[in-house]
Amino acid sequence: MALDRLFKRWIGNRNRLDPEQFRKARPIRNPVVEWTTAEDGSLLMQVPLESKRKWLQKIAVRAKWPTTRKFELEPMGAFVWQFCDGQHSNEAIARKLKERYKMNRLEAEASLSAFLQTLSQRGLISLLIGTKK
Amino acid sequence: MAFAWYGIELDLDDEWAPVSIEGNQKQGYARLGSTRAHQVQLRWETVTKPPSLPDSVNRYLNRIAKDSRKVSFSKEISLASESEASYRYSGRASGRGSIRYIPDRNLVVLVECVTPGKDSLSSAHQKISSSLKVDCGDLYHWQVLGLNVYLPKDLEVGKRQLFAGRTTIHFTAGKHTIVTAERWGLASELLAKHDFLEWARAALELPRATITDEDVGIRLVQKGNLFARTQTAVVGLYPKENRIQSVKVQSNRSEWNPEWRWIGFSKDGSEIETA
Repeated sequence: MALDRLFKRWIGNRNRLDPEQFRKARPIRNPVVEWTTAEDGSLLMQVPLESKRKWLQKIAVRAKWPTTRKFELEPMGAFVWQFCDGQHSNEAIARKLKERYKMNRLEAEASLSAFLQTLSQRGLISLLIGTKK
Repeated sequence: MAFAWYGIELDLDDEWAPVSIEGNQKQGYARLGSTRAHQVQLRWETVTKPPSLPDSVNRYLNRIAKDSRKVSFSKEISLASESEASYRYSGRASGRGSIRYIPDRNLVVLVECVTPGKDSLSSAHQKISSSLKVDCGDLYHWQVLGLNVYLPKDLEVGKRQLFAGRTTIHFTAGKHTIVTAERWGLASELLAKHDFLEWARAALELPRATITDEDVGIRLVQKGNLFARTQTAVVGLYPKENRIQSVKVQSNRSEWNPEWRWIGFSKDGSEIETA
């Protein structure tokens, strides 16, 4: 049990970004995501559901399971989404968020970090780390 | 962004944010960090008689020297006046600071800029320490993470909740009174979905309160009974800063009635600069 915890901690640390790296990282959208903007500024996103197992796909088609997964972002999330183009760093997005919604720096950075983590967990974005070409 | 705690105020750039705040009115410590590795330390202590500032600095620097054993440590202290001294040191970290005695409050305040490297701190320290203001009136300024209120000087800080978009500080004045100062960000987004009055009633947890619109903001009063204290709150909307601020008082004593100047408004509705 202790070894298991140690292993998890070791693996966990390898994937963790330090705050400086995170500030410089650039979020980029998953190219398969399609989205439309609603009148109120919110965003409706669709991600195709594809399984690598063909037999599972066949079952899904026969059973008329949904072929896409839908997400909705509120206007504030939509504001962040437009900058997830691989060109803007997290620091730059946090600055825009701060100006647009009159937040303080810490607040903008904390909410952006939590939001990007959620998007990343759902496979909607990836973070580019390293120098911009 | 300014930082103010127990009426001790520093004017800082927006890159600074509080990392740690400890202590009470008599003695305390606040550390603020920036996006760079620099830090600002603010220490305060109430004294019974005017202290010898060089001695106080010496004692403080000796403590730091002890911590940076095995690394050469150098220090320099200069007395600017009877009530102000400045110092610099270099050891495991480099620091530049000043110490001031505030006779009106019998308070010694130390402001220090620290860097783990050898960067020059003189201009940063000069700018920050010259911005130091200490309230000596009946209200003390409190400003942290967007919350900006002026509260009676007898309060002690209790619980603090510093969330993104919401800053809450609970204060106590003896056993009889609880004061809660709160700030909500994203006011326009909140009020796009909710009615201001109904939102205030729900957010302040005053479901039976009577609400009066007093031009400057709204006042909520929920009468107490044998088992519960009377709760009074003032709520102000700050469209320019996109925030809502409130001060709620739970007390059965009539002198504890929140005033508009506590949340930064004068009676005519204009925002006041300092207490």
